[in-house]
Amino acid sequence: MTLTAVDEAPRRAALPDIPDKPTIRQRVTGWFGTTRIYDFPIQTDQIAGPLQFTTDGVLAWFVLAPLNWEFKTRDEREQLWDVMSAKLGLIATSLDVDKRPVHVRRSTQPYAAYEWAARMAAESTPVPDVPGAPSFEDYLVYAQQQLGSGSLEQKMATIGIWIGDPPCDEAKRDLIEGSETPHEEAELIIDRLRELETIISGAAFDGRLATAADMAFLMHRSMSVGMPAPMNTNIGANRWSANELGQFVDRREWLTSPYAPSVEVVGEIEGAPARRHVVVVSLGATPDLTWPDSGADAWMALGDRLNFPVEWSLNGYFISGRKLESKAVTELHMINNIVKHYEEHRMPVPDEIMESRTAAKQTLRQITQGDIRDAPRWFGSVRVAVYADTRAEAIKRARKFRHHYAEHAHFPWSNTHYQGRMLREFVPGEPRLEQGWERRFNVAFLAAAMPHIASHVGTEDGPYIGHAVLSRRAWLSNLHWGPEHNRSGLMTVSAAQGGGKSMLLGCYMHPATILGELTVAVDPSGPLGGMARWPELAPYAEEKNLAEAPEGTLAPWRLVPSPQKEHYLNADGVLNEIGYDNALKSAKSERTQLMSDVLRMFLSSRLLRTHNVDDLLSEALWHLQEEHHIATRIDPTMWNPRWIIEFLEKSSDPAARPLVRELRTAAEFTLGSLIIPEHSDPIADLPSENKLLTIITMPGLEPPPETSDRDTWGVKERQTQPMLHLAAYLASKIIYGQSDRSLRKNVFLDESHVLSRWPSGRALLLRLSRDSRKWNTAILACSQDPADHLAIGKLDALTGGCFVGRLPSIEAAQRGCQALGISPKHAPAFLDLEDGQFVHMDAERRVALVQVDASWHPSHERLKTTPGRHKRSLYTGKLAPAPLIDDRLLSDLEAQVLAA
Amino acid sequence: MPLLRSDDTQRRIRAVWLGPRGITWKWEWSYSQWIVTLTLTAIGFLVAYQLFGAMFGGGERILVSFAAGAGLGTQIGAFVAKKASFDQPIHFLVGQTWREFRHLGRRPEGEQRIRLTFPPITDLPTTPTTPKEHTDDSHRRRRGAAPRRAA
Repeated sequence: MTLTAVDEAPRRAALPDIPDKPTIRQRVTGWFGTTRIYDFPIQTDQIAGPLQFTTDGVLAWFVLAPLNWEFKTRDEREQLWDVMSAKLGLIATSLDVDKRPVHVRRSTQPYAAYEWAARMAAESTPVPDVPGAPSFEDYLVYAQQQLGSGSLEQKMATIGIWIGDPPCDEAKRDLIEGSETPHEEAELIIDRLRELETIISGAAFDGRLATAADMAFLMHRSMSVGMPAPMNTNIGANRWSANELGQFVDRREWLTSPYAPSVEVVGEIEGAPARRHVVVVSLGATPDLTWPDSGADAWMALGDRLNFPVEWSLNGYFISGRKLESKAVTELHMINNIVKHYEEHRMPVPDEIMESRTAAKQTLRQITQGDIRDAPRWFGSVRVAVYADTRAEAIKRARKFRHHYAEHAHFPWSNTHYQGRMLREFVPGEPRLEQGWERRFNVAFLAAAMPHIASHVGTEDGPYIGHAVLSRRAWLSNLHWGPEHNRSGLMTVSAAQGGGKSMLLGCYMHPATILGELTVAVDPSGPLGGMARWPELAPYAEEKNLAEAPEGTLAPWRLVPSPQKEHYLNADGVLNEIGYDNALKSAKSERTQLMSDVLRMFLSSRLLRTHNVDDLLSEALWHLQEEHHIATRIDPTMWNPRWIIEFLEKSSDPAARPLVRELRTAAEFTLGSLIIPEHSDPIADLPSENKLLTIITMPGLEPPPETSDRDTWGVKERQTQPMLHLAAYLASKIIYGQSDRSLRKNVFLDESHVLSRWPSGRALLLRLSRDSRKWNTAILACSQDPADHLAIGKLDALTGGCFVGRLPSIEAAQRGCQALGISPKHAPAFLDLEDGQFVHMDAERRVALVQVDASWHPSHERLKTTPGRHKRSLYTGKLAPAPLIDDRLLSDLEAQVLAA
Repeated sequence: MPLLRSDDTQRRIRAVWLGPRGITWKWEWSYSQWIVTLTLTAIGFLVAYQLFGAMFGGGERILVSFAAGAGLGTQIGAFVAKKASFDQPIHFLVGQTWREFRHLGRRPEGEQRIRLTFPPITDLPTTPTTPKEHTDDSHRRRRGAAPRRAA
């Protein structure tokens, strides 16, 4: 590190010769006050996988799995906490030692963006690039930039537990290099390691043994707080020898001075010198907690709500209840003596002394009679390191951190002196400063910290869609994870208008198309139709405007595909006749139900309530199936709905006349011929040259408000129902159009609330849900109210996930909670969600609040369809001072006077 | 409702010595403060006793020395008691001060600290003269010139 030196030689030459001798004060302040390097001998000898050999013994390190917490019910939270407490108690008592050192470290880790991009590139076959448009590689670059940016991170919770004294050289060699006949000390350490692994890898922690790469990251991160640490270091060898450990401390220095409020960490980022200022704060005496009943965050996770990362270190040791008994007795006796002392002096005993006596009795009872959740204690220092680029900013952040905890948890944090020594405690294996700011609490209190809380939803691979709001963890979402892991591929999306549904669909559609997945979207209102004109998608996409489609495109009978025999062949090529016959019957009944529903959608509520109307419709459908001279001779997919009208015209029933009149009106409606053609011929099989991305739009449709009653709908609003309904059927046909079932397909349905109101629609969603797995299809069905999806019978059991965004009322929000399977107490949160924020339940039933990110790719900016104020500055030129008297006012007055 | 309580409640108890049996002080000092005060009083007494040997004699010397030692001990004891707390006990404060200065470390390598020394401006050979607006005649008097006449 160098400061630019001003060349003062010429200047000095011009000056008279004056003595360059500092004063005594300058000497004193110069000696004590100047910045010095804080050096300390690192205690670690060697690292081998999860084992860290230090001068004080061997530590075994574990990485805890992220724990979703924010939407768990109270019972689930208590259960988790209970299990964690018991496990920590088990660790505390499993060794017969006075003190068992333990170090909990919580750090932040950048996302492994490069590895993600490499996986994506290796596992996908993208479409050819379009010249002049963003390519697939550009997509990966943009995504890597976003994933690797400082705004996204993941929490890394680790725990290092002492498992033995420093072993002899032979045992150490056996542990590091492996041996078929290990030394007995090595065997003992391995045995203790396995015991710990069994405890920590189980429920609540889901931990795993740390690798050397994890340890390297942690060492780098602790030695260079706030600086980027290499994610994958020395993965192959899984060992760090004594010589190699030097790279954790080389080329970085801690600078501090006596009583300085911070430590300046100097290191390198990509060869360039970099500095971070770190402020360490220590936890003071904690208040009593009523947790988790209070509904507050776990005390360590509370810091996640701040908009800057912090590093946590809980460096101390476990003491079993038995070992602490004499200490607890002494404390109680001391308090009793103080009480006695007051009584001797005939003075009232202060309340705090009496409270302390009660607490001491309680502690003694816990220690002597409590179980493993109550008796064992953790004793040590709880410290947090806050860092920033400048000292002023670091101090400001530390102050913000202290105020945040004081306000929300009443925890007292203090800026302490001797910052360098306190920062040293963050380095794994380094000893604790055994004086001052020491806390002691039982393992249940420690478990209530929940160091591994982190919102984690989505999949390990797949496109980057956004991030978890609470933990700012990247949210990757492969919609085909469900179908490819024998689970449903149907996900429901519910949000009010402007809640971000279109943005969500667009963020899925874009990568799906460039990855070569066949995708169909029904977007009646059309904001997504523009995606077909994006330069990189244009050759592979089309916007299918149904207003321009040929007659009969939406004829109900042709929208239910006929089962194909080749899909019912077993491994030996033999037809499964029973299965095939059942599928034929199922398709037939679905067609009949669909046609019946469509006819009923056309009719007014008043007419539907008329006697005999249902019978007439049933009779007409039966006639087509059994007696119609053309229908009985051709494939049902070619049947023409106009034949129904023709049959009803010949009916002598008086109820048939208004029926015919309404159906004729429907056929003459703007898009009516799509369902009921003007001709009476069989509907020929229409050419279906679907592009990779097809967006079906229906401009001009006016869907009725979802909340209004059907009786109040106008004719035009009524006619839109079958259109939306059948468009969903049309889109779903894509699933069955591919010969290769394993090819990935996507169906995105907007305004799908229509489906849930009619039996055929519910049947479609159920069929899609079932078939999504067999046909490797991802389906997103959007609606404005979760009730639309809850109404579909068993659908909630068949969905592979759920999104619930902003909702307009508390009742709707409670239905959203029901859809997500979370407590209705969370309902108020849905009223204040921002655009693009959803509570998401993924295929593994994990729930977290996520934010769709549409800002990282230049094309995604076009998905922001919600109209808003332009961010253009109101003033484009230099502001001029406002005149005292506006000339225009004078001229107006003059004009008025003249006019008078 | 589960109550989580750390052991701080009984560990941070304020233990005061009210006085020997039958006598109650008017003030409440913690045991630590008593120890510091009495220790420093004793040290102060011994130092003062040596210093005041030439000035006072006999009983006066003892009395004055004790007063000086007690004054020193009380003041420093009160100061330490004010600074010390459960989280920063006296031994921690003393140890911290010692460690802060003991472990000064070396200066950062490669860093050049340049201290620029500026001579008085009048000593510079090419100091530009700046006209100064005088509000009174003190400068004229210093030079031995006659005061300016009033306009």
